[in-house]
Amino acid sequence: MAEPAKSSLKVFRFDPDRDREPHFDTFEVPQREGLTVLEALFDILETQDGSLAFRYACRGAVCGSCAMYINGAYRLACQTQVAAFSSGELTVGPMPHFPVIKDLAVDMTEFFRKYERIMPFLVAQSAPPEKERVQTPEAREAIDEMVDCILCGCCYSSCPTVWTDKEYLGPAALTKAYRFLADSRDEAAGERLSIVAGGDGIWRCHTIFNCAEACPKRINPTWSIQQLKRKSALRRLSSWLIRSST
Amino acid sequence: MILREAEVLVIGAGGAGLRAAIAADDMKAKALIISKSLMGKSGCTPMAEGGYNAAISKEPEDSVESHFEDTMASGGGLSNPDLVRILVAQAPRRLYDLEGFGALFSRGGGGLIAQRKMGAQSFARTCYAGDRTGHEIMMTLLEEVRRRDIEVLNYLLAVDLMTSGGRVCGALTYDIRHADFVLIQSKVTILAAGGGGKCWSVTTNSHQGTGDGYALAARAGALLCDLEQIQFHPTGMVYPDSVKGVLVTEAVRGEGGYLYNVTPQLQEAIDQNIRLKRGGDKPRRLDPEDFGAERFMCRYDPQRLELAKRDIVTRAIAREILEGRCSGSGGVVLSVVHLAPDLVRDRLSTTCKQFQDFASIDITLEPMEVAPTMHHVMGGAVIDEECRTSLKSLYACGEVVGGIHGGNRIGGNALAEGQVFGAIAGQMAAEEARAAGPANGDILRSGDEMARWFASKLGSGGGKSRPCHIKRGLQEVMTTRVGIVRDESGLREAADAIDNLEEEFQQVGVRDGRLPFDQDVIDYLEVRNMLPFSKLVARSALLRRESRGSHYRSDFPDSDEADFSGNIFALGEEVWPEKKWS
Ligand SMILES: Cc1cc2nc3c(=O)[nH]c(=O)nc-3n(C[C@H](O)[C@H](O)[C@H](O)COP(=O)(O)OP(=O)(O)OC[C@H]3O[C@@H](n4cnc5c(N)ncnc54)[C@H](O)[C@@H]3O)c2cc1C
Ligand code: SF4
Ligand code: SF4
Ligand code: FES
Repeated sequence: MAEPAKSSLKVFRFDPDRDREPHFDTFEVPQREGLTVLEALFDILETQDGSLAFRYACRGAVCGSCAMYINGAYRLACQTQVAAFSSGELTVGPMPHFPVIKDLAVDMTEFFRKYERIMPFLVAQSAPPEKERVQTPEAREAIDEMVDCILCGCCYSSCPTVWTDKEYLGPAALTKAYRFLADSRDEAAGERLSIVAGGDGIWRCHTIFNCAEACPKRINPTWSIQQLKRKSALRRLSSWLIRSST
Repeated sequence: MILREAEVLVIGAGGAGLRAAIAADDMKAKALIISKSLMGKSGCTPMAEGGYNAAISKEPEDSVESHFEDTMASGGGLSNPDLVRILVAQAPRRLYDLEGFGALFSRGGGGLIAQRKMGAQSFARTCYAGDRTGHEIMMTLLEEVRRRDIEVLNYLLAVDLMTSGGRVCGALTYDIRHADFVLIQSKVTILAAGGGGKCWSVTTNSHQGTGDGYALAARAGALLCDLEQIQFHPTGMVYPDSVKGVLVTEAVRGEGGYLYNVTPQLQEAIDQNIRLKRGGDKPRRLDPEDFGAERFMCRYDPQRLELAKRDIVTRAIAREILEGRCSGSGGVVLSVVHLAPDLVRDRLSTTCKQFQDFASIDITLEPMEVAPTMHHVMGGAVIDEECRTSLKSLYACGEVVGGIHGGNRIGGNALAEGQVFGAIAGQMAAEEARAAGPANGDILRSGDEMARWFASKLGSGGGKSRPCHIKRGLQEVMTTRVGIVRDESGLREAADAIDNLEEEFQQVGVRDGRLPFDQDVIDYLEVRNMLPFSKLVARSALLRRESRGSHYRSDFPDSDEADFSGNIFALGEEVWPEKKWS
């Protein structure tokens, strides 16, 4: 019987506690119809090298655990088919610009710390009504795209401003901020706007669209950031108008 | 080993665990949540698509009584009516809580929360956020937990509950990230570790669903029930292989999708479309109706058709497949081709993307190949109305609990269950914690012993067999012998095979064990739970010599109403039938 065709995966290896330098290991994995990168990594784990570290959970592109840098692009390993690369050769690395815990697993502490800074929760001063707060289907749809975010970190990792500016909130947190600002039920617009318009926020974004390209959920953070810029500018203008009229 | 203290320790950061922590926080108790992976990312809650059941519809006027009756009827005589009553009565309130925390549910007329009808329901009762309801609920709870600044420890895998004098007083956990043990001493503990789908090879569950909660409870000496009741969801993906088992939400049928078997003409048309797409062309519109395919549910449940109870649809599909009326990949087809493409794209956007991304199928034009997949463990820890388990100071909520869904869980009832019983568990645990003195019980010694025992396993994994091999072996056994259709000899074989795997497992060690994210260690600790859980499932299934709910025995195809002996309980290794509430 003929050997099944194989794909070759060049996988980033690094254990900061033991290795001085990262390196790549190459593994041959038998091809199967629809084989995803995540499955291929499990295959390596079970048949070749049990010490390979990576994160995973849902294998259905909804949890955002398995974001990686595959052949030069940000992708979810569970959503990426090995066969998508006709060369049969893949280079799999961790998301760049995140500290590596080991191999493909990265430390997302900073990412979540910045996310927490934009107050990622609904603020409603008024006591909750007996039932739901009324919201039109249109108002709900206006933020449909942002709600889809799985906090995978791809956009953040791809953003040149994040690379150079340690405190820049980054596209994911700002998209979240817009999700709440645009929520017809939220009552913290002022506070949130001052956070995102502060020194570490929207005005640092150079509208380079890397983030939109990186997002595996086809969300466009740049658009949200532009909306935030517009809202913030309007607010400044109106507060200036009010001041100058009194 | 590191030592920690907690007032209320919550094991599991899914919908139930987070809701419990929030309720404990409401009562001013200090909760500590631990999660096997990054909080909110593991577990089944973020994966749920279909929705959350609450009898809030005004037009037509729904009622909690009707929700109660539907749930009880579906449970096949095994549901505990007291718990079901709580579920249906409190589901609306907990839904409004979520909405108050910020969850965005889809809206209908008048800006109110929209609802759709799922299987075995008398009303359109399922509230949803498109087809990513679980994701929305999870995000909302995470946000609320952050707003309240409740402490969460990520990557902590609970190894065992610690008991002292018959009381649970904490848990030994393993820190996957730092490769170290953390011993947590608590006044009260809430078990919310979710389900066990990963004991089968084809499942909708996330990788973390390895039945840890059931095994932890059983080893500590808690009473469990109904473990033979395993729900196989009728529709999982079958193609390609690497996504086999991934859920195709019931919402597809809820929105009007039809199930067909596969005729040679239909197969030919499917193949032709594959060829077209390979050549870079657009696929042809392919309605199974045009190819002589039969809407086979007419034969199994002519009234409810595709929206019959899950166990019925599952067995119908299994039968069509078994009798060869299936596709080359071993599935029947689910089609929404007859529905308006805009509606499909709007209401089923996740399903659209799922098939586009994984199978290159445009579901507005082509049918989806589907087959049953392990989905839900209906059984679990026995609780009372206040979420107390049979062990002192141990509460449980969410999928790890048994006795609510009985023999068959209705779609949409599990998300509601997590919120309703999560809130109760959190409140009750907090009350107990407040009344209790400082955490006591000498668990240091047993924790130390455990850690030492484990250390003896480290670096000893030179042998041929690795924990992951035992895992695969077990999944194979459970899928072939303890699946949708069971019989005496198969179940006996399964029980023996699990015994053998247990023996083999004794010889297995861990290769290194000092690395972060060491899969060998994770597998080892998970297999240590999967084996005893699976064994209880097989043994409970052997004991139920009739068909009931999701438990179908080809050697006893009918329910034995005359000689009904109640629920099957499990304590330690013992299993027995008893009428406690049934
Ligand atoms: C694909 C899919 C779709 C579904 N759709 C629906 C639906 O539409 N409607 C519905 O009502 N139900 C649905 N369900 C069922 C429902 O999602 C689950 O039953 C429910 O979410 C379980 O919630 P939980 O909080 O109990 O557990 P989970 O959400 O599974 O969370 C378990 C938590 O426990 C942690 N954990 C596990 N073991 C350990 C350990 N040893 N130590 C520490 N932590 C541990 C995990 O990390 C995780 O955080 C669906 C299930 C799946 C898989
Ligand atoms: S558009 Fe803004 S946020 Fe996005 S990558 Fe560019 S600088 Fe970063
Ligand atoms: S916006 Fe997209 S890329 Fe960024 S975190 Fe969310 S899902 Fe990931
Ligand atoms: S494993 Fe969840 S997104 Fe890939």
